[in-house]
Amino acid sequence: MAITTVAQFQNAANGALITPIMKASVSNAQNNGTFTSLWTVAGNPPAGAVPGAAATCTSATTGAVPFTNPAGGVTTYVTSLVLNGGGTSAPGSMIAYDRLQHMGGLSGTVTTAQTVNLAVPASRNALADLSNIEWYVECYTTLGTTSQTLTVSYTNTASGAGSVAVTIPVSYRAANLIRIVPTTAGDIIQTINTCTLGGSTGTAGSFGFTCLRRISSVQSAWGFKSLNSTAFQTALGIVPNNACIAFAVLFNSGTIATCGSIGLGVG
Amino acid sequence: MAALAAADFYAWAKNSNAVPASNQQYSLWATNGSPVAGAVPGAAATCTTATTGAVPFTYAGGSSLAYVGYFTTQALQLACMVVYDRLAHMGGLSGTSVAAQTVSLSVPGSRLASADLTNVEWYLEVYSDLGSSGQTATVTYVNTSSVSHTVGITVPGTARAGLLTRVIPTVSGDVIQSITSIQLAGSTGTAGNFGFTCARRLVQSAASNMNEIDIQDVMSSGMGQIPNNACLWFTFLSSGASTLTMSGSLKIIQG
Repeated sequence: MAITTVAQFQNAANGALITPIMKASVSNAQNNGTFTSLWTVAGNPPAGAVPGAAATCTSATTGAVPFTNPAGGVTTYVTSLVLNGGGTSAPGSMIAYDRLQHMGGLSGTVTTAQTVNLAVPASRNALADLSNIEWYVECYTTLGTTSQTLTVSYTNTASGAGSVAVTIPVSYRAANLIRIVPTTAGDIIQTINTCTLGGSTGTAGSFGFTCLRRISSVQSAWGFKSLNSTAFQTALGIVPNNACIAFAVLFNSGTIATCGSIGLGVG
Repeated sequence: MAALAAADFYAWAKNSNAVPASNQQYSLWATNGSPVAGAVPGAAATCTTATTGAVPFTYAGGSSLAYVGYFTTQALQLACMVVYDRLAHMGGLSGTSVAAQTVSLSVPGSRLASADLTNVEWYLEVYSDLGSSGQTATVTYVNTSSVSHTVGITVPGTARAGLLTRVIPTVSGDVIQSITSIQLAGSTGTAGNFGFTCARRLVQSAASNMNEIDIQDVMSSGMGQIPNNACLWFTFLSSGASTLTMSGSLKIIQG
């Protein structure tokens, strides 16, 4: 079964599980238009742990939005996503995503290849060509003051080896996400194998990698204004069983506390 | 509703070429990202879903039609995204040749072009930087009454790879049916590589703040209809002179 009519959508929305999102303040992400992860930020859902070796995230992983898998044949959808301004004068936007796998514990001072071994787990709605999957460098503890090039080695969907250079900025901040987009024509990442820094950033810090599938977005919220993505605006993002629902925000500067909610309906 | 619930998001992400000037439209056809970079074309060819560089999707067929159901944009500076069905393209023209150069570009069938072709746009597309001398180019076309006319367009100095220059007839009543040839008034100083592209617009989105995700949902997107074999192509209007990374979500719904 799936939602096929407006009436079914209304039923799903009316009966949706509404989970409040209340996350403590985080400082601005590099101020360069990149996402700030709320994974390790205290609040509701609670802070997730900094990962070690590559692991699949699920709804049972601390940090995920709790929800119960529906009965067989029924699908869970995002029926609403709300972002409050959080008391900042700066605008912000937020995405909800299914955190598929993550890993951490990499050092900003090691210049040899560091193992990543990140892959897309099964049964999480990844398309066959993986074109709905996004890959990020995620910083857990701020790195040093020297910018470096990080060479990310991956296997593409044709099982060929590839690599792409990512710039690690000066004082790469905790919680910042850097999108990894291959520069080799035709390449789509299937797994990330290793990464190698061009030199030391000066501080070990801690960083890792995350792959995710976006399930909804909510637009800009100024000050204390609330922005609601409901019905059509959520585009009914599909939430697979066991999904690890987490959030990331975009904002201009300073710090931001994130308040809002997510609605999960079934049909 | 069923179509919206059944489809998933395509995670698009594109890097622009270096140093695009502001207030001009740029093609992301040949730049890396997702979808992957397309090849620089040679002689005129129809673009399809199977053409490298197009957004991959499988047309449901039968009684189902495909539409843009959701489109979001985020960028590192203010930018407007425009997504087209790239109908046909050609390249390999020289910025130093002052003789007439053959184009032979026309609109392919079965791609939802209206009978009067008023929903088709024509662009000069730069694939490799041209020289520093701006030139006037005379474009020869056949209009929808099968009459040949010309229009002069400006090729700016140091036209960057990716630059799109819209070709709009100046003869009253003319709509382009095919572009026949082009002749530069003088050399730009560098051969570079350019060509022409015709396309049908599907959806647009404006990221009006660096840290804002602009959302065009199923209603505000206008539900641009996507024909079978469509070659979805990303372009953007630049607001500043810098390399730009753009990304977002696209949901193609079918029903």
